[in-house]
Amino acid sequence: MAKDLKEHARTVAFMAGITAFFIAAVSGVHLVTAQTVARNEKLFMQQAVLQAAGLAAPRTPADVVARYEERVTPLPDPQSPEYFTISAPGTDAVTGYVFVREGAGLWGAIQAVVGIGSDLATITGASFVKHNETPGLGARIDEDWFVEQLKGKKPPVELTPEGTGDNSQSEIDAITGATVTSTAVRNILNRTVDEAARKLERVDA
Amino acid sequence: MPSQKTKRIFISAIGRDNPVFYQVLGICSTLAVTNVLKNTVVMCLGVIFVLACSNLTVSLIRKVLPNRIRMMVETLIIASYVIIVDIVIKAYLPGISRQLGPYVGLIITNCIIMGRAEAFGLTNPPRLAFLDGIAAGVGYSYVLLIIAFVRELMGSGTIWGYTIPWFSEHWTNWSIMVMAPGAFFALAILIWIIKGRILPAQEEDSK
Repeated sequence: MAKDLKEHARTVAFMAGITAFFIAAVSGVHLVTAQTVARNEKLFMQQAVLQAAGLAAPRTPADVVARYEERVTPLPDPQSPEYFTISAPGTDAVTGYVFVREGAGLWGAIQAVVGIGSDLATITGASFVKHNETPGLGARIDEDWFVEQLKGKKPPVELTPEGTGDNSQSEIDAITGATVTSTAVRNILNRTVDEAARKLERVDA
Repeated sequence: MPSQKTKRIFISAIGRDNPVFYQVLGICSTLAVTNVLKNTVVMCLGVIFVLACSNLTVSLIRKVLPNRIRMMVETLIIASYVIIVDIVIKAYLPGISRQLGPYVGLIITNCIIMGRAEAFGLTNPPRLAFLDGIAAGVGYSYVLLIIAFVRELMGSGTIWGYTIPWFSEHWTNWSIMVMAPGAFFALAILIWIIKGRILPAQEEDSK
């Protein structure tokens, strides 16, 4: 009986000890890299905003931060997700807006950063920063051709089959085999521009 | 002397006792990450690292490890290494981390890792356990790479994201190869070829 008890105590102590050891190891790695991870996240978001605004994102991280600080003003909004205004270099003249919006994709939410010109109608660019779409199918919304084609579109947009190419301003190419994802992107774009127009016109008026 | 045993470990992991096509373990990740070659390579490196480290760790503590909690401890060890891999990729390879998304976490559920810890790490010295982990990882990886190559080529008409000059123009992409069923087809055909043709032929030779 006593021997049993001792054996049990040893087992519990062993489990507690080894758990503490591995928690310490994982926490250590997390603490060492936490800053780098946070910096990566921030840089990624700034790059996405610049890209959506139609400003080519610079190559080096330092340049990205510099251009971001020069051109972008974040506007935290308690009523809805935050948005940003883009101004011409050296002035306060607003040349466009960037909105962060989410919509339901196939496997989860798609978070998009959408840039809109000062006319509140034309898309200046977009970037899909968070999604869980199928790699090789829906995840192709990250590919350059898909993102590039969105520039200059005037929502509401409709989908056309992939590879149609020379579309009008109200049509975008969908992705073959990823109908749900393509539709989700279309909805996000249309909704974002619609909301932006109503929101900002009301503010100005 | 060490080379004999090491050689046997590698040969069995790559050939007759291959974790994927012979033991049919780790199929979940085989289906999930093999539609684009680039993701597969990162996944394979992660699995090799976790396999080798967890096998080594289990082997190091095998003499003091109480038998009745051994599986809890193995899971703890594996999960810790996987989280470390995840954090490190996030910090230093953010682009790839974003693409792999939840798949890195899936390494935890890869039964090859638990399987090797149970079958080999618990009963063998650290050096051999470490090598066995690498061997099983390599055995797993090359099968995945073959499947990923076929799936990306047939599903997207590309290799490593690059279009193939003549091929891509004349090939109609098979969307099904990008989706999970495509992995089942590719894996089944591969197992059929290896078990039906290559392994029996080797047996003939050795007779």
